[in-house]
Amino acid sequence: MEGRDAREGDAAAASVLVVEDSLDVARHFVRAIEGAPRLTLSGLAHSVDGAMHLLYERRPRIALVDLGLPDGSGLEVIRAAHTASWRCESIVISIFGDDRHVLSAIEAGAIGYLQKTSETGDVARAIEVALAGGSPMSPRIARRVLARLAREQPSPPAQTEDDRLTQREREVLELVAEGLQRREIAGALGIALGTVGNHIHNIYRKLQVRSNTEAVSKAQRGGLL
Amino acid sequence: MRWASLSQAQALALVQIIGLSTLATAALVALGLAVDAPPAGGLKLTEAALCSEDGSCSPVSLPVRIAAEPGADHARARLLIDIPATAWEGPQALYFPDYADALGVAVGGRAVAILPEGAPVVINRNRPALFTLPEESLGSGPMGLEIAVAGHPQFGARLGIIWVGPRASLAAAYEARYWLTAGLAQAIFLVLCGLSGAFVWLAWVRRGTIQLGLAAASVSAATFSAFFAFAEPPLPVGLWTLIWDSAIRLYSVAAAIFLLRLVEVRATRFEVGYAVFMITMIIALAVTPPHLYEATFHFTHTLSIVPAVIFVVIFWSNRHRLSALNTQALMVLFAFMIATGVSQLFIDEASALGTVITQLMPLLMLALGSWVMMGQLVGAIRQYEALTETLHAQVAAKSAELEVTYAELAERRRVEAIAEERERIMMDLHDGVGGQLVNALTYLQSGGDDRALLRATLDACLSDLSLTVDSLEAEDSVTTLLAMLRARLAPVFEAKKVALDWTVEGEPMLPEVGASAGLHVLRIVQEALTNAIKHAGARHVSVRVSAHAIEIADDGRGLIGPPREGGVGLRAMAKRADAIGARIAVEDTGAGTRIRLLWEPAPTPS
Repeated sequence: MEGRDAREGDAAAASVLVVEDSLDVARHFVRAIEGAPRLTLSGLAHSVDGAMHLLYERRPRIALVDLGLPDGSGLEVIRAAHTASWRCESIVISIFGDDRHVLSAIEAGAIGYLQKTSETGDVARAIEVALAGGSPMSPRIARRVLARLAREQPSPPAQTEDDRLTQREREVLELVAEGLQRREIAGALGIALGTVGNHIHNIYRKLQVRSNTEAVSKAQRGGLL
Repeated sequence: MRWASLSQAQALALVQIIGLSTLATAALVALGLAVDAPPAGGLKLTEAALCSEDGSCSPVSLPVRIAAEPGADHARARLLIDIPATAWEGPQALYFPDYADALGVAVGGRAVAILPEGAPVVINRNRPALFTLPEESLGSGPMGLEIAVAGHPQFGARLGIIWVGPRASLAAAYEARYWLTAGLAQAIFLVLCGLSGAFVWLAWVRRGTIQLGLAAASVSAATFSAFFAFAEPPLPVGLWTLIWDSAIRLYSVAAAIFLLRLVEVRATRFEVGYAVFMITMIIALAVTPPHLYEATFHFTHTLSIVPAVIFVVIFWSNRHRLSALNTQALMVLFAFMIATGVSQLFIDEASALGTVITQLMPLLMLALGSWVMMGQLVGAIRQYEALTETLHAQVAAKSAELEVTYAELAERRRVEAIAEERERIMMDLHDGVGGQLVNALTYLQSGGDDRALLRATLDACLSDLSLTVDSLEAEDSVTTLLAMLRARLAPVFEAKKVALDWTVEGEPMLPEVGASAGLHVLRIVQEALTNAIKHAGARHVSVRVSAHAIEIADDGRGLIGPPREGGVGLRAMAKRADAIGARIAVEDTGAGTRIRLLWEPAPTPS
């Protein structure tokens, strides 16, 4: 576990809503959560509809969301969780090779991702890591974020200071994209290991802020606000 | 032309032209009679006495011509006419429809118009004259009319019939005749000047013989008509007369050449001959003494009938080059020309009609010629438009064909590329995931129940599959693909406590690009790493990625030595390297093994 300050250090166990249409996978996650001392199962949904219902009824602290649901995209659930009145973090359930979707999920408000094939022990640990803001970042996601920034470079959209990546954050992304691990990045940049984690956490946060800004402007354009 | 073999169409044309000529002649005669209708109450005077200088007189009938003496600068004559006793009422007048070139008139010894001595200052070819008689100058008894007439030597003096009678009706006849001759001549002159300007401009722009012919003909016709339009000569009379005569002859040549070009005939010998003939005639006229001018004039014009007939023959035998409509129009004109000649036989020589026809003919001819030419021009434009349209249609059709060909080619290439990629993915799945799954299944069927082993196999399958899927990401660079591989393998290395050094010095510039190339590189590196940790028992592995090589070095037992599974792996690696235009170099470093994937630097696009 990366050296992040345990902000969610409250004694109460965090409640987790599992949104997954595959029964086997769902059962796997349920088992993992029930086996983790600091997590409790808030509910299990197999569709967007069911997930929305449970989300507002049970008000979970965490939502584990699969993207491909029978009646829609898990992105809807992630957005709902992100804009909920209470604090609710969502984590994408990912399979290999769908980093593209993971990136859009992060932009929709997810704070991290979890491999479907993770072992039960790993699931609980990954959830805790994500909660602590230490979700890993794959080289491909780093590359995509960089590519997106490069595209935006000529005319940066009107954004506040807090969602613009710093030079150091870009350097970190660059090294992640090359395949370097946090320890190696820390060595290469001459910074502490925890600082690398902070940078990555900030990058995630900024991606979400960006998506929020975009969502607000989109909503304004669409006459929703 | 052999008359025996006259075709039906030719016979029909002949009948048509004869019929048209007859009709036109009748019309002209009728028109002439109408134009020359005697003024109401007028008395026609035709009998006169021509008196010489010495006073001796001889009777003559009007009209009369008086030629100039050789060497004289004008012809002059004195005529005495008796006006019979008539009961005159109201104001009276004398009306001279036709005379040349100047008159002196005295009635009953009282001068009405005085003819100055010497040559006349005007040339009168078409103007009538009207003299109002003083009140009571005509008594109830017979009256003596004395007329002096003077003319330029070229055509001599001329006196036509004379009318005497009520002023009102004679003035009306005079007015009508004046407008029909002098007025018309001036109008025609203006029209011809306009046409000349237009045709000269056209000739300047197009520079073709046909346009030059038309321009020359119209300028000649304008000059010709100026002679009729203006009574006062702008040049000495002899020169002005010669210019006028030359103009009508040049007009004939130019019109002939224009008409021949119109029917696309190039009768060079005839054209040159015609021009030379006309120039000879003009020279002959120029050197002729003035008093012989008229005789030469008539002689040369009679001679001109010969080339005119030759022209008509040439033109007529090529008339099929004109459209039927134009041929008809020309036929009407020719019929009209014949009719004018024939009608002269029936009409009074002094008739206004002759003058009208003479003046109008060049205009008619030019109008018809330009109409025909415009018709051809319009036809040519239409033809050009049709041609352009055909051309456009052909170009469009060819472009469409080419587009289809290109589309087909592109489609074929696309299909080939897809087939290649499909082949690659199938091979990859077959060799990788497929083989492992078959192994796992066989293991289960043969009663194996080691869950850890099964899980490891399935994990390996997933990892393999993710590698394949990774390579399909079109956006990713080779570095990113390798980074993904590293991220995936990191837990394995961690679990086996093998240190992995990962250095990226630059993006590999592979000789071949595309998903296949990426996958081959991934598989090679994966194979090398797997070898290092599984078979060589390495504790430390380093990977160095650069623009022209990827190097995987370990501190393991090495590949050299007893044959092992890696042998097959090496062959597969070499084959993959070959597929992307690279090669594999394996070295025993003493402290371990170094596998290098090497390729020639791709030529940098400049």
